[in-house]
Amino acid sequence: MAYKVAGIIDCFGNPEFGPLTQHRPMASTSFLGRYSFIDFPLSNFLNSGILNMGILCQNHIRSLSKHVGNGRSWISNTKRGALEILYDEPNVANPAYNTDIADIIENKVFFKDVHPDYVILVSPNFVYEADFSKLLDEHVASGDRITLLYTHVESGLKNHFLGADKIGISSRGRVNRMETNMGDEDSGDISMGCLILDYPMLESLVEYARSTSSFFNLDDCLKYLAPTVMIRAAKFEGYVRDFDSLPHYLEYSLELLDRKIFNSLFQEHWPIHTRTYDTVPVQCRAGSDVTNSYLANGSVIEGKVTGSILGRNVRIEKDAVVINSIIGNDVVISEGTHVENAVIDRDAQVLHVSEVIGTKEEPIYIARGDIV
Amino acid sequence: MKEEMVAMILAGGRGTRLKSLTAKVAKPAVFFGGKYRIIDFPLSNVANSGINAVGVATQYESTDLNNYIGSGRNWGLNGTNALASILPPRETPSGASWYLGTADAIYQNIDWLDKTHCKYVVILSGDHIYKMDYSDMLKFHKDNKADVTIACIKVPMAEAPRFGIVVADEKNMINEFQEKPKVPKSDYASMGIYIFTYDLLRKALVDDAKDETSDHDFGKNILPTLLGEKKRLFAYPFKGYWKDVGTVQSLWEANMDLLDPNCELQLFSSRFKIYSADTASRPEYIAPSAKVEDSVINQGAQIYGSVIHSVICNEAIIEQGAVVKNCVILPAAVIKTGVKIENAIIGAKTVVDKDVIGKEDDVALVNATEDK
Repeated sequence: MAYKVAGIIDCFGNPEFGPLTQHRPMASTSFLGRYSFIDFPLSNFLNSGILNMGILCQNHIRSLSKHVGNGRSWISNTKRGALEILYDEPNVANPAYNTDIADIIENKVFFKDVHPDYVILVSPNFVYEADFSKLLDEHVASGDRITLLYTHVESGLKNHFLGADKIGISSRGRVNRMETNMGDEDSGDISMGCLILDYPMLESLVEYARSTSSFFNLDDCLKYLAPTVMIRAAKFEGYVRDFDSLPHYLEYSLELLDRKIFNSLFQEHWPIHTRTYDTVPVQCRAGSDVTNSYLANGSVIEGKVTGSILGRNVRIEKDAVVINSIIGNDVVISEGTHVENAVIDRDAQVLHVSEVIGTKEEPIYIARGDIV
Repeated sequence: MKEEMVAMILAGGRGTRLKSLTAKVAKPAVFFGGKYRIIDFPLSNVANSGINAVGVATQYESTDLNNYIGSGRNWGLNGTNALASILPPRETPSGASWYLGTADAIYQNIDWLDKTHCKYVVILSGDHIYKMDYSDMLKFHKDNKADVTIACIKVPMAEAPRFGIVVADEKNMINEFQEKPKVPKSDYASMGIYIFTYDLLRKALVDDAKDETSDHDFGKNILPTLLGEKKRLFAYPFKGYWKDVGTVQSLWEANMDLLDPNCELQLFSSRFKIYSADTASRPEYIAPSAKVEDSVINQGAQIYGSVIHSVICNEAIIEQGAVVKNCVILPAAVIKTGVKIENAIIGAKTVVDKDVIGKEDDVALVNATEDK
């Protein structure tokens, strides 16, 4: 890849996971115990040889900046490359004006410094592994100015990818229609919220948005332009999921316990990097019973865990049972407690109740730091 | 640079009694406790003691070890005012020589020590498992107006001949030093951890270097000479876990010690953390077919079989139907289906396809040394 590329993660308008994303953006929300969602796009950029990355940050900058730190975990050369959080300070308290377009304008100095030939924009709610160096080469070879990555969904649109953009594709492989998937058809092509375009093109999109409406974001802009502007549709083959709600967060996370699905997401020689916490290995104590689960380091398990995902430094005490649940960092599940279909946020302690039981459709949620 | 106390770690030894485990890496780089290498312990102790400058003398098969130490950033030793130097033997205008002994390894780096303008030097081994705050030992050294302070620990009398033995009075002042004596006069063993007042150390090293009959060894030469000169040598009584993991058997035993929740090392305590390199591992996976009991398992491991009372490193795979009991499985080793292993250490990247049964007092080692 001989071009200078800026990899941009767009955290505007990402889905919310209800109370789980009350204090953090979806991008830095815990995923599979060990990761944050943003680790996937950042690692995709790193593994694709992209040196400069920016995160368009809508809100909750504390959680995001804590996770990415100085960015070193995802930067191959720390002098030539950088990872910056692009924050729109003037508009953050002004939701209508706080758009990705405004954020790009506010941070134009980032683009001036990086001086990219091409920009790759991604949305962190779409989880996948992709080699952007290959996708960029294909984009350049096509001669088109904008490429949009999409996935073909044979069935399931009535329940999945709701709120994502459904696209129509012309016989010449261009996007001719773009609208929000309301679940009225079960099959279709879904935009993965990933654009590959040259930098002058991004500038014109921003200009177009500005001249149309100050409330416009990039997605509105594309929906308006799709019928008239040539947008190349590039089909992505491989695992992709749109983590778009709390029930889907639980469902899609636990679905990865199926190793076939896991191995379709995690490619060989494509490491996903994250921030280190220097946690000790997991201790499965005598009497513990762990099956069909993912565990992050630091946990101490004395009870039963099955079909679940555990974050870092979790304590599952004797005779506690955890089934089909996601347990956040530093959570304590005390002796004899039964936890099922639950999402328990970090630092929470289940001490006084004997049952925390939800359903798959409506998982029970326990808030960060709460003691119940 | 001006530091009150700097650290020197002797990490040049081969550790022949670790057999093939040290065929391609020096002993300090040998894996321990699921996610660590032995040298993580002294380096973390240095960091946790508030010491900012550390030199690591490496010699035998040093490439992996040097890479591992790098800038010292895994232990936070790359901050402002911090210095982590890898010090292999080098050519100088007067020629080149290997490190001839522990004292010579320090002597050849006198220029490095001079430049730190330190008042005290703590000299450490790169191959011991323990947690220790060297600042407490420095206070002891100053309180006693000592020239040399040697950290000491009580050992069983039967084992005393393996160690440097000190004979000290009730005020901990050392009267006699016996290096690996046939007939030990006490059960008080030197841990190979010394604090020297630097001016005195410098003179002792220069004198020793001129002595052609000397083995240039701290235990055999420097300490007995200083004692003969009536210098103030003190024994610092260390209480806590300390293990010299010099043999395959002792390495296995130290790993098994971790499985005892009351192990004095307190590796799993969040106080005085041991830091290590992060690996871009996937979450640890415990399959529906797995049975895990009383074990320590690191991120990236995949367990499909039975693991009982064992330590499993990152990326190790225990296949379905395999039975692993009282074992230490090093990174990326594979235990094939149906194989039973007991009381054994399995080397990194080693594929085990037939049963391995060791004894508790004579553990087995299976290690593919090629292609590491």
